[in-house]
Amino acid sequence: MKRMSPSWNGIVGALVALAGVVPPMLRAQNDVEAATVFLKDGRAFSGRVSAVESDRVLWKLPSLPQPQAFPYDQVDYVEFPTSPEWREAMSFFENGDFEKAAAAFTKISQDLTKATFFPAPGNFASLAKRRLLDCYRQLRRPAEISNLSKTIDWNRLPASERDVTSIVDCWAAVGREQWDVAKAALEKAGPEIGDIDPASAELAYLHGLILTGTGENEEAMIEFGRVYAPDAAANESMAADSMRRTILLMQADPERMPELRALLRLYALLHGNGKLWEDASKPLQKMLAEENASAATPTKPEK
Amino acid sequence: MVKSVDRKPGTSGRWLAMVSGLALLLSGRGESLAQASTDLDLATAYDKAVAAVDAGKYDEGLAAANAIIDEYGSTAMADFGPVFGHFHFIKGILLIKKENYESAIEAFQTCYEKYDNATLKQAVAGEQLMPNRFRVQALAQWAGCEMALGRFEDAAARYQRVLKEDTGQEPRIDRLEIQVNLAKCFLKSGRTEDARKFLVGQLESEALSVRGKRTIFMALVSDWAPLVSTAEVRDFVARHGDLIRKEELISRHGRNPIFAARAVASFKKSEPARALIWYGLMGHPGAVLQHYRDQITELEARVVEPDLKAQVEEKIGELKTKLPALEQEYVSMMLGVAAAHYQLQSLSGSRAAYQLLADNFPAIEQRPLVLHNLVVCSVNLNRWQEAYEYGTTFFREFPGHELKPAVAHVLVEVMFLQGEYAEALRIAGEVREDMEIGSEARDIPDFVAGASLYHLGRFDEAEIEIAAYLENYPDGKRREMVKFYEGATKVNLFRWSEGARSLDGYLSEYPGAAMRATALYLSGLSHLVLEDWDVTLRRIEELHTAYPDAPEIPGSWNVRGDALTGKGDVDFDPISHAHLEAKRLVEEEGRGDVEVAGYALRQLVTAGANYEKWEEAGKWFDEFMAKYETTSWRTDVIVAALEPLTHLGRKDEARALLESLVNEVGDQSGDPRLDELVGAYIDFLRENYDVPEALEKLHQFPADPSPPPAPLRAWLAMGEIQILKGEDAEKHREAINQAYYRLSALQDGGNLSNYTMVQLARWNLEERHKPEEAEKIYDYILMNRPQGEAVGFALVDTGKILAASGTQHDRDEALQRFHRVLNEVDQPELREEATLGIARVLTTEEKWEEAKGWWETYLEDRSHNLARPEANYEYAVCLENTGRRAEAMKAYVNVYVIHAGHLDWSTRAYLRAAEMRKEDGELVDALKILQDMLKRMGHLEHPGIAEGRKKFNDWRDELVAKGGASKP
Repeated sequence: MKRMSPSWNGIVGALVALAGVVPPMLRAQNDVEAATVFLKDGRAFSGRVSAVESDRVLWKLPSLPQPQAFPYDQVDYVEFPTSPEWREAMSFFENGDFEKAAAAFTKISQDLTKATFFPAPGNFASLAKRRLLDCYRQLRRPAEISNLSKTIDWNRLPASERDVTSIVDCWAAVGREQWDVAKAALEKAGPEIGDIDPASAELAYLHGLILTGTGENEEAMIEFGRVYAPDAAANESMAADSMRRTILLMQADPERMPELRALLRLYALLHGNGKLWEDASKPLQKMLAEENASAATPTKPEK
Repeated sequence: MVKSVDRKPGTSGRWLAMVSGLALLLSGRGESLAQASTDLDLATAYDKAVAAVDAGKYDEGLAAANAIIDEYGSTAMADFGPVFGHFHFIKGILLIKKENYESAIEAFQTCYEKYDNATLKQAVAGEQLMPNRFRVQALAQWAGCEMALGRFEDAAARYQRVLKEDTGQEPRIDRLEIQVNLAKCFLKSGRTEDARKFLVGQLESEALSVRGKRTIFMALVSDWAPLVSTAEVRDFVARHGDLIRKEELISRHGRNPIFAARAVASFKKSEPARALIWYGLMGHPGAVLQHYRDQITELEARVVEPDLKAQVEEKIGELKTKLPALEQEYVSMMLGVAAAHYQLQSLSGSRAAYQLLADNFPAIEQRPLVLHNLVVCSVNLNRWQEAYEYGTTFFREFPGHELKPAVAHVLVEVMFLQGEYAEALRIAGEVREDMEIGSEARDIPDFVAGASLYHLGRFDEAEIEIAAYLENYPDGKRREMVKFYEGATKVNLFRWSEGARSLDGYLSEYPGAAMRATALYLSGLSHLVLEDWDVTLRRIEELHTAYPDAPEIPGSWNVRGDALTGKGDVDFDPISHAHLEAKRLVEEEGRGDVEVAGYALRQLVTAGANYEKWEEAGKWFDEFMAKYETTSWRTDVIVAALEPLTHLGRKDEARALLESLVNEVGDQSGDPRLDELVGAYIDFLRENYDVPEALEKLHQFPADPSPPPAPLRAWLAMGEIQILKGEDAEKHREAINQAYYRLSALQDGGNLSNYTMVQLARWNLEERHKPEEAEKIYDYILMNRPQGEAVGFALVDTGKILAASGTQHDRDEALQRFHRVLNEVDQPELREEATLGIARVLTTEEKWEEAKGWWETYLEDRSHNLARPEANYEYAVCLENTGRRAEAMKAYVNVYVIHAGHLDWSTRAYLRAAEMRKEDGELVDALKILQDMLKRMGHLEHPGIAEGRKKFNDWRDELVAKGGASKP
């Protein structure tokens, strides 16, 4: 799976620099109109977009007087100059403010003027939808993912942005509570992610949701464990939600009371600043209060 | 960059840059200064001092600065203005470099106090005095020196002054750094809350950049967090943790060493949950690893021009060098996360982290611990297969590791304790394979194997395992439990005597054992079967007194009732009270189960019948049928209630119930219940009806289904035979034989029950004298019904047929069958026949010594009555043939004295005894023996007596011919 934009930009920057093309960041500073076209044969050219037509993009290269035409079937994708709106949305996204980022990307995705939309891979309207999907994944909104994914034209995204489709399909199927479809999509997405890659926590989370949906609670708790323990540092909110879901499932199993109590303490400590989530049931709150009372000995400093 | 208090103040490169820059100012004044001095060039000296800092030539720098200060210092303020303070500042910096903090403070104090820029306000017009632009910096360095000297209170006050006096002009001071140092001073001087308030105030300030806030956050993590409680840390991270969580991955990852150190410190204070707070803030090394791997993958896949290839490869190589350290960091973090969750009993979380380590890092030093803990987690999560796989991985990779017994223990004993006996047995079997018998590691697996077999009801195998454990582990960890299982296994194998002995030993050896209550119950039960009534009652009494809440209590009241019944001299009331108490405990206190209550009523009905308490028996019968008919005691209760019901005028109801029971098993020819029930039915008919009525009931049996199935038809024929035999066998011989022929017709296909088959075989053997027909029936039993009483009859009767056949092979086969009876059959009469059969075969084969032993065995059991005269006689024969002539003589005498009436054997004994005396040359004594025989038996007709008479006459003539003696 492709990681989020920070690493993506980093990779592109490195590649472009190595290929002898002006890195996008520098180019943006020097020439806000400059863009880079990446061809399927591996070549990349920096210049200005002269015109975007239904079947090709016309490219004005600094060294040539006449615009060069690149048919879309030869173009891998185009990296167009970014707009202030795009940069602001990305800033929200990269700072983890996914609510604001989602609102900003929604606005961009709906603007189909030439300012943001080109009928070619790399146009900002399509990219915005793609980023919006990432926002919804971060915000764990499968229903929105389900709705949005139907509207994305994946062919108008750079190829590297398309290989998340399995995981998006999975989210979308979870949003529709189509557990078999979700499971199939998950199996497809799974092998693409390395075992120790924290990105696989998202798969584990989805798997947990699917197993909860199919009533396989024991296995669901196992999957959520992956999210809230080894990969908690990678995604705090997903870890918190996984722990919350595990607690809700575990409370029905009298044999796992010691673990339930441990998780209640951990949730309050790691994710709730001493409390459980807002609508936590009274029995769980009471159990936490009992735990706190039994562990009333003040903790000591580390040194 | 934040300077810690451990570092020397004034060593930051930034100070040098500023100082160097300001040298230009002095240099600008250089001309006029130069005019004032011919010996010393101020600007040159200043440059030299600054360069000395950079070059590490601190003494040279100090010499240059001091020379200027000495030369111009006394009038410098007037001559040059506040700017001369710069020389004191650079002097202070050089002294810091030499770690001479007291002198450095002096220099900074001079710079700050003496060269005050307030003078500039009083400067006359046109005077080109320049400001001391290092006053505030001098104050900051002064504070730094105080920190280095441990004067934190003074330093704090001075840093506060720095922040107050700083106007933000060039050269700027790093206010963030000052703020951090101020907080450190607060912390070092015990003003923890002041520090927190101050820094948190900065964190919440809108003026401070995110970068600055992150610096403050890390300062708090490094210096404040170690001093405060987990709740305070939690609150702090909850409020401000997003500063770090939302930081770009690589930058965030750069902070990991600080978080990792905090996590380690938390573990040292046994606060794993606190450690998880810190792990949660780390830039995930797995994500960083993946980030670099993605870059490598992309670069390797990229098509590049040949001249760029080397650059790409260099970049790839550079990225690859980062991976091992990241992998190590990932492992460290995951070990910490796993351990924290493990210690907190957060099983799913711990398991996930340990599994990642186990699956992806097979070469790490901690692998044995990882696998061990993973097995523990998996077992506790009931993931048996997973536990098994990682456990066996451990055994394969670390066969000699000190944790191996612990892994084996966890794998097998935890499963055992959780009642997963089949899994525990399977895994115990596998893990112990390569363990030395008797070794500490194998102790638990061996225990679990035996105990699991017990709980799985595989008592024969359990007995072997348990015996091996007791032999191999004289100091075994579970010896006490195994001793219990040993006794309990014997009980379950119905080896009551061995069970009682073992359990009594256990009770004596382990007076405070955890299983004592159960052991008392089982011991009591064993002694009950062994008819040791008083021992049974003592065991139950102790159980009731010492363990009133034990689960065995309800059942034990039934055992007490049975023991009282067995004693035989007990009134009805104590017996009924015992069983009623058992029932009450089940019904009123919810203890025990319905089987216990059902059994109590069974025994109450039986006792009621035995004591002729017909009303009570009838009432209990009705209660049983109303509440416990579905228990396993239904048949017994109905059979026991027949007599009471009959006495209560409910004979037809009793018969109808019995008929319904018979119908239930009427088609199950191999089921022993068919024999028992029809036997009871026939007895009932014989006791309650005359012969014609009984036969009529049999002929009109209300079979369901109708016509009755073949096994039941056969039994009805058998019933007819028994009723006819019971009245007069001779009188009804023809009818009886007709019934047997009907039985014979039903015999094919296993339609007959065991009892009817045995009866038919014996009829063939005894009445028809057709052993071959009997053998066919017995062979069927041996082939198709190898369990139950019928097998014993089949083995004995066919053994006898084979023994009589005359061939060695058949005699060998006969011996085998008799031995099988002794090994497999409990019925005393069949065991007697088997012993007799063996002795006879061995005698036939003239294996005198062996035969003597078996005859002795036979005779030692006083209950053996079938062939005592024969046994005594053959025993005498054996004695004679093994050279014990005198003992043989006594034995023969014994036979004809004690068993005189058994002419077959007594006449033989007389004859042989007489012959022996004659052989000894004592003809007169021989004739006296024969004379005694003829006196006592001469009036009887028997070939032995005829032979005795003939011998007497012959020998008497012989004696006369010899002229030895007068007629006896």
